[in-house]
Amino acid sequence: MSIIIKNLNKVYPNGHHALKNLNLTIPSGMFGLLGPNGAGKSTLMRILVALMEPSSGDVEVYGYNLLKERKEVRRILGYLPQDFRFFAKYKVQEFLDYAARLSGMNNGKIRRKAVGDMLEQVGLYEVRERYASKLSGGMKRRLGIAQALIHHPKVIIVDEPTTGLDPEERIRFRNLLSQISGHDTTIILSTHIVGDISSSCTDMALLNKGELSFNGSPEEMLKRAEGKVWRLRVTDEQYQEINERYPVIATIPCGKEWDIQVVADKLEGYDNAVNYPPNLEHAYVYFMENKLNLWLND
Amino acid sequence: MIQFFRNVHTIAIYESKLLVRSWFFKVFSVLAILGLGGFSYSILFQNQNWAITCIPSLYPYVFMLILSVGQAVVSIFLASEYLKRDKQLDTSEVFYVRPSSNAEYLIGKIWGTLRVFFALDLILLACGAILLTAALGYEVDYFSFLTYFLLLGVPTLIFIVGLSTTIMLFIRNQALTFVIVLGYIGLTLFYISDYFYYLFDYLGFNIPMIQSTITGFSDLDSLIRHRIIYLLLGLGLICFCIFKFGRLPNSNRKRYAWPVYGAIFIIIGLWEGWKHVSSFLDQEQIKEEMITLNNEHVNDPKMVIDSCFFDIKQEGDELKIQAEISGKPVQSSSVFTFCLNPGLKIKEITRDGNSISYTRLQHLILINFGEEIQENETVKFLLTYQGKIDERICYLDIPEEVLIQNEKIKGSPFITSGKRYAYQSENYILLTPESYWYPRPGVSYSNQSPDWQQSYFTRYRMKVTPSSGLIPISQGIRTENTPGTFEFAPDQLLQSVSLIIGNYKEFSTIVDSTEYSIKYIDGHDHFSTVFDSIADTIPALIREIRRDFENSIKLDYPFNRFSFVEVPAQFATYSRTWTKAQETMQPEMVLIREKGYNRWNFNFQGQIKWRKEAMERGWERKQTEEQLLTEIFRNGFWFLNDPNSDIEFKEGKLGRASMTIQENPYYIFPQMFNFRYNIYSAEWPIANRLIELFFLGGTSDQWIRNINGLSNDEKALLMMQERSFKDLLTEVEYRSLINNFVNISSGQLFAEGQMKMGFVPFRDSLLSIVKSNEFKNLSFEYLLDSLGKLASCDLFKPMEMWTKPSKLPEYLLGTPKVTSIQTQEKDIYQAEIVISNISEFPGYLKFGLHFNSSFNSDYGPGMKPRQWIIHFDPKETKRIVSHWEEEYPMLFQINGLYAKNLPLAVNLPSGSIEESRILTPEGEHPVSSDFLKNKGEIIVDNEDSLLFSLSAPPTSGLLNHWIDQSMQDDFKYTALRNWRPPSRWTAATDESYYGLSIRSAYGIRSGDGSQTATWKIPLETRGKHEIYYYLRKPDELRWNHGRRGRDPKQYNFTISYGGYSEEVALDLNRVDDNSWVLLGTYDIDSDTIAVTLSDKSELRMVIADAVKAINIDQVGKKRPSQRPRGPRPMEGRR
Repeated sequence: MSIIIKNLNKVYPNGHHALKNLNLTIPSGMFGLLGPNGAGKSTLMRILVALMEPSSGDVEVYGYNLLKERKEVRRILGYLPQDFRFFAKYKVQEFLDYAARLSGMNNGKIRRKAVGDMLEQVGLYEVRERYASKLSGGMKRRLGIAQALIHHPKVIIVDEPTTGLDPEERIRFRNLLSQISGHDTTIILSTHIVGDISSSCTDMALLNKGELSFNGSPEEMLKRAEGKVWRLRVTDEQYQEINERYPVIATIPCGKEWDIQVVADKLEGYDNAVNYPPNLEHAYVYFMENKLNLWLND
Repeated sequence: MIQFFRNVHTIAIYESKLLVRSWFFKVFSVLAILGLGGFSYSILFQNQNWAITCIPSLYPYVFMLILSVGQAVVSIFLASEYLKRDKQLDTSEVFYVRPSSNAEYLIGKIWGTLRVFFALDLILLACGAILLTAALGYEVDYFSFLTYFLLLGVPTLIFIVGLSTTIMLFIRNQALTFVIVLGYIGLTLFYISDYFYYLFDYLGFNIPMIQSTITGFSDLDSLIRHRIIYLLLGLGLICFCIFKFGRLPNSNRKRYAWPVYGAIFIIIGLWEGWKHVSSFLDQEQIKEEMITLNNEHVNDPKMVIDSCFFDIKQEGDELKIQAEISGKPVQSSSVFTFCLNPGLKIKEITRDGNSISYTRLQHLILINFGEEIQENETVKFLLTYQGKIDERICYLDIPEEVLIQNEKIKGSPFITSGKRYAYQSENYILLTPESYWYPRPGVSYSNQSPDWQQSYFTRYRMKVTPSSGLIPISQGIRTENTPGTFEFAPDQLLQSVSLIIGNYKEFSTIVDSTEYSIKYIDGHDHFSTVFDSIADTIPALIREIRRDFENSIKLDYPFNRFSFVEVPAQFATYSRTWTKAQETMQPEMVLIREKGYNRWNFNFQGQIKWRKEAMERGWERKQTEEQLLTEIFRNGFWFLNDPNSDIEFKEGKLGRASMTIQENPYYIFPQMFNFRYNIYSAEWPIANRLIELFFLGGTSDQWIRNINGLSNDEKALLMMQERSFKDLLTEVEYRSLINNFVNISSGQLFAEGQMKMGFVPFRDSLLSIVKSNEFKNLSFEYLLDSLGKLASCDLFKPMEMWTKPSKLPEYLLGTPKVTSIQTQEKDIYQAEIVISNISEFPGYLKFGLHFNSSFNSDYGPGMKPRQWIIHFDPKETKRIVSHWEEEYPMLFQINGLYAKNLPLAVNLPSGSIEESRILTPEGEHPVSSDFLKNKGEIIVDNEDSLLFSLSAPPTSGLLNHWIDQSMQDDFKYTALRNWRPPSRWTAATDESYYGLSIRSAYGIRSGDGSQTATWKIPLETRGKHEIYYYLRKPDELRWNHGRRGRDPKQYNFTISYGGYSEEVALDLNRVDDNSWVLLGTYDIDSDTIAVTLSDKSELRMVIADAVKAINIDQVGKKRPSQRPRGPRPMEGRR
């Protein structure tokens, strides 16, 4: 296993308990970290990239203890933060060269070639002399991933990489990550966009309020949600009642009635409800709501 | 470690890119280029800059200083900027997750900033070097550009960057960091400046950094230490920043090494700081120890050295000297005290080939001859010593605050030169007597007895073997009998001798058997070709200049040689209390600093250029080339004939100011007097100074009372009423007034003699006695005895007053009067004045008349003496009458010599000439003191504490209390300056104010009428009274006279009596100055009349002086001496 997290806790000075006794094992390949805002994803990411110290617990990254062997861990790490902007006065090529040199690529010739190749790979070669601030949002994100990959790290951590990208850029970006994941690399993709996970991750974890809600493959998560998604047609009054009791994940107007999809273990009192095959988004909702036992507690 | 430097280098490269591409830096660079370009253009290309011509490294010094201050300010912003940037952008995190350490990261960032500035500095300095080269006429010291970069640029920047980064890391607010560090810079630059021995001068703004082309920096070791302090503190702070940096370290354990490194740097920095300060404190301590030692031995038996032969060998940077001394004891003893520089170690003292014992106490040598040596018995001994001069022995008499004050370069508000009193290195030696480079009898400065000052004439000879290629300079004719060994044999006996060795060249000419020469350092000849076209006339010019000087000083130049010797720029001297001679003046030679540094008159080429330009533009009359050169040559040496040089003006609190006159270190007088005559006295070692000041005509600082409020003589007199002259001579606190104490005492001493013999004959007699003892030791007591016989008086008697506080007379002066009297034979102008000594003590007063034709002469028309001394018994009143033909006196000059009067010396105008037929015999006629009183006239002056009152100051509370406290130690009287009038009533004295013995008035800045001065006149009888105000117009009207404004300039008075009051507005434009002006006529039946002057006026200042009431019923209607023209004030009605 590439990353082993044991009993990880993080309590901020203001008392907020961001991670609660987290235990997680992350295998190589593309790993999705899913969770709503405030679930503790970013905290976990920052701890994994050695930008933040946990309050307690242990993390092992490819055999290195993250707390004691930061330098070694940093050497095998690539990181693309969530809100990634640039020093406006660096050119694309310079920025990548800077990252490469800091990662220990001392040989100028090799480094220049690696930078060129990486720019080709992320489709930025043509704009290598352009100032980073002049790039489009997608290009910037690609440059971001390029700097994370330039030194061929074993662990790549990307935090909310597709936020703000248009659909085409998002697909390109996912494909890029998928390509990389084939090279005995661990990519941790932290996101709250379920689509990012479903299209690229072989394994995933679901975090909610600092706790682990699910850990397994997306398929397994789907399987756990089978028979929990219902589709039915309801009147206005029924819609109000259902919406108050269960998470409604799709609402399509249908004349004077509504065609809705609902996540629930059982939907009592609605005989016209039929089971609907779940997707990962349904599964995500199911796990989030289930974890909170919203409808069970009603 | 290699990876460490690689990472630092990488981060630095990219940080530099960011910096170079930022607008902030671009703007700074452009401003730096424009600013320094403009600065360079203005000082290099506009005119020949004399300071840079003399000291070529001055240009890179100032250039780097300006740049350094500018970049210190900018770097505060930039140093905090990258932390702010890191804090704000997640981008930094993609670098934080790299394996580089915090140290690599932060050092890289800081180095990235520094290298950009360093590169900018070097580029700009290179441009500066090019400009200096292009600006022709200047030597270029390329190496100094690098030196100043290392000394100024590097430590300052590292310290400021370290400081701002640390503050930013702690307070995490860029704006606040900027304000704090900028405030710190401002505080140190403008307030702390050079306090604490430059300790806080991290910018290097005050610490002297001038490099002489002869000897380099004044104190390189101290300078390097000072700069290292800030370099280390900067590095220490950076280490703390690494520890405090907000990124998880690669290794927690290694992280703790950085505060340790930081602490080490800071501790070493502070240690260096302590060493820096303690080097000054040690200096003070050692000086104190030396003075204590001198005090202990000041009365030890001394020996007059009759002859001394030096055999001097220069060995590396050391001197090996053998002195063959022959002397006679002043009093018999077996042990005699000598003084020798403590850096020179004694090898041996022998007498007749046998070693004799001695005790060395720092700088003192107590030589024990093993037997009693009787007075007048000659003893010979040989003293061998070797070593390097310790400059700490120099100027023990000069207070520390004066010693640490550096001389500013003329025209520069902040650049100062360092101070050196002696030089001794392999390539250059400059030793004046002040360094005690040879054994001198007695001790050096003692603050308990002036006995140490006594010097004697000695026959000096010298053999000097300098290092190869160097030329020695000393007094007397120089011969080189064997190559490399020079001998000097002065023609006369000398009181002191100096030694200079360097790479000297010489330029000389003989005029009337006197050899005039310029001895300059090889390569420093900027003068020899300038006067080529008038070369033939130079001997005549020299003759003429010499004659002018001799006429002016009334003494002739006694030596066969006269030379200007070039010495390093930092060579400093001080004026002394016991002699006019400063170390810049050595017998036969004047030491001129590097090419004439800080002396504009030596910039001959510059003067020629400017004068020609002025002629071309019609600003001055056309002259031929020869005439111009002749004038410049002549003016070039005029500085030798001026007793004073710089005048220092300081603004004080509440409109007060002070002015200090510096004595001219190049005044030629000592060559003609001090080096030639020596008046000694065991009891009064200031005898020399006393006679010297008498010849110089006193201290002549009366005019500075216009700024200081009191002249130094007046201040000295105030002191002398409390303490005896003898005590005051040893008071360090009153050091600046010693000349005045001596001057006043010389007035007391010679007054009777001058009175009896007459002014000029007395001076001539004194001079002839002194002259007959040329190059001999003349006893003061013998001098007084001889002079007393000539003047038929006991000149020792006044000296009894010197041991106790002075009892001063006080004189009332009547109104001067000149009448024109036609006799049968001729027309006579009769000048008369009544003077009364109202005190219980006798006194002498110097009375003189000034004629238009008598400027600077001792005589009036008909070669009749125009000034004399008058004696007054206690309470004696005299009418002094003097007759003149051809011309009437313009002014009555009365100098109290030593009296309570303020001002001590006044010039009273004669007023209008009245015609008369009554001729009073010339002379001093005792009269009644009633002679000064006018019947029916009552005057109330501002000095009258009962009848004159002022309103309370406008400020109140704590501020008022503070002002009162801060002025407690000040003298009561100051000067009223029209351009900065005082905000509260302030007393001043001036001859043009009304007063009895103290001619004073109060002045205040004009205001809203809330401030008032009130005179209450007690009337002897009731009836009609004319009320007058004594008007001395404020300066703004005095200076504008001849173009009086049309707008009224009024003083507003209120006249109150018997419950009535009248407003009177006096238009000052319509009345005359220095006169009683009528305010109005009032019929008064009360016993008092109050006159109130308010501060409301169109003028800048209102002056309250005196008022007068005349009972016209009693004395008859009297025509006022001055009636206001224009609307008359309303007459009082009752």
